[in-house]
Amino acid sequence: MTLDYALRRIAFFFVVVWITVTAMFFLVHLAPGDPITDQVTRMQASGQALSAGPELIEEYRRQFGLDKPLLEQYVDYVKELAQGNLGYSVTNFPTRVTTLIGDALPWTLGLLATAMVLSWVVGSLLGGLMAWRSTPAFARGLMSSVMLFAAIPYYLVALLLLYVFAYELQILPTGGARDPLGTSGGPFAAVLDTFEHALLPGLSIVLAFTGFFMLGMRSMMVSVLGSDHLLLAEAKGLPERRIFLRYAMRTAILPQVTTLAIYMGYVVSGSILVEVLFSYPGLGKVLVSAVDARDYPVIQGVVLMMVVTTAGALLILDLLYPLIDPRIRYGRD
Amino acid sequence: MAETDLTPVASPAGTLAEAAGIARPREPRRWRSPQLVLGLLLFLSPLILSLLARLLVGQEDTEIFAFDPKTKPSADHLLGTDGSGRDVLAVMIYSTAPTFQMAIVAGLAGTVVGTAAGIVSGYFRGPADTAVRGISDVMLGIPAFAMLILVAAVMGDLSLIGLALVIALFSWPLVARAVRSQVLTLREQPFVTISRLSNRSAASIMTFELLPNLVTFVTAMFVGAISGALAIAIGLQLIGLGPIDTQTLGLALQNALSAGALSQGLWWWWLPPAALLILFFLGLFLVSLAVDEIANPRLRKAGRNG
Repeated sequence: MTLDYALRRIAFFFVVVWITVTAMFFLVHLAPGDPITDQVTRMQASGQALSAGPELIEEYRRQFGLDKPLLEQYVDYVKELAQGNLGYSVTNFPTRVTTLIGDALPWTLGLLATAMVLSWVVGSLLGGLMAWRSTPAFARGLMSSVMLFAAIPYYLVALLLLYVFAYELQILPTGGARDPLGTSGGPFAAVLDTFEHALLPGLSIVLAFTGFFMLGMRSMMVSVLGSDHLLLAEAKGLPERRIFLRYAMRTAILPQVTTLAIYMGYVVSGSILVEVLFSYPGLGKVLVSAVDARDYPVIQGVVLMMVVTTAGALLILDLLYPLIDPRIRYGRD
Repeated sequence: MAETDLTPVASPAGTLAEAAGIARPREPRRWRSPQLVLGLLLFLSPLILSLLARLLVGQEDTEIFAFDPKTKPSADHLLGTDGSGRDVLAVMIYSTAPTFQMAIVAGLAGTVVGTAAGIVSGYFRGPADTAVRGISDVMLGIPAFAMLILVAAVMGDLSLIGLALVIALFSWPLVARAVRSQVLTLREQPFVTISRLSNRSAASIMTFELLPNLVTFVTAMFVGAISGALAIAIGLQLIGLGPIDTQTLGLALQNALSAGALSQGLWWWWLPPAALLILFFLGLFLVSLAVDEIANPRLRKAGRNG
């Protein structure tokens, strides 16, 4: 890998982020109506005591710099962003967007990263076995039915799980990340409580992505199966398990690593609906509440966060890939 | 066998290009697989049934407070009534076709634009290629769902077709990239070279030489695009975005969930739209598996051995 390539790749990352920021800014600001007037009207409509409506709007507009020309606002916005300032939430005014995101991020990352890695491991293994010729037919049938979960959007799976386990059987909590009344019995009970709350949302993501990773692994395995090195391993009389794991899986797993990295990038945006269904206090929940209230600074902040993670994961992947796969050489194409 | 060993692994699109087996002579393609038939049946029969049922059930049954709210399924209301007194079955009957229409329009728009961009980009290379690749690389780096939430929130009162087109805006780059990589292999084929040498116009080569060879591949992308668009649209509707003036299954589900149908145990309100959607997704999945196998004979072989 050349330094030139790495620099170009990093520059591309910033271009993606900049384009997103610009697109979001103009999208929000050129849209009819402005968020602050909207917000004040909404508060008045819901019966909140706001005697000085118009004055408040003026004050807010000054504070958010909305009375300046659009281009100037844009430059200010980008400048602030560069310093890591995402602005203030309109609905919870003194709260900074960064604070809201910071509070929610650990929940999303914890839930999603765990679920994603778990489904990657299980999915790759099952997908490999599915294409392997000595896998018994009934096991293959079972695996195909797991694969069907890849066909259904994860939020519909989540809905069914929620209904069965939380509402009908009532063995798991219906939402939240922790028992609101707190737990007694020390740190162990607290961990168990957190785990119980994460189980259903996690499971719905695992079910959806396991099938997805299985599909990818199966087709990779199919293309590896005819290889000469497998034939050689067989001719040497190696035990089948060893051929499967060290020869077939080892070769077929590389593209799966790519897929995992790409999907790790979607980790932050992938769980929006699961978080909403289970009222899990992650980024998706923050985003959707902000959408409900048309709290644009928060929406912009969260979407930006998601874009940065996705583009960032792709960047890291591209930079690291030559190290994982010696066949890849970056140069000019 | 040996020619399959060095499948480039860097990009999924690259493996697809290899896998589609375009370079090899055509073999008889099997369009009549059980998966395809079952998939189409799951996908299309609710649509046809719902259109026929419109003759039996009037639209007035879907109006607010047409009946008592929240009544259990009975002989009068096979699926009961919802929280605002609409007949759930009637709502489903009138929601199915618009839901379909939205998904098909979104899938079609994304596939047509993506295929056109992919063919032009792969055939001409040069500046057109740079432009298409640049745009699609940037767009693929952006999580579409998150961005669509912002777009739908800003746009406010989108129509159903408007929503479909906005979704297509984010789905064409994927099609373009995949088609482009196919075209890159195709354009080096002798029949394309011969066409070029016999002085045929680029437009004619792209339409009559490249496009027919891409039909299976593009069909597979189309099925995927429909299913993706449907998943995104329902997702947006579940968080309260998108059109609320047209009845769709997503809207029916969102109404039920936001009114607390789950916690009140009103299963007949949320379960039917959810179940019908699951049926659609399974149908589309089976169709896409079948089309993939037609486009990629090696997968078919693997499914059968052992």
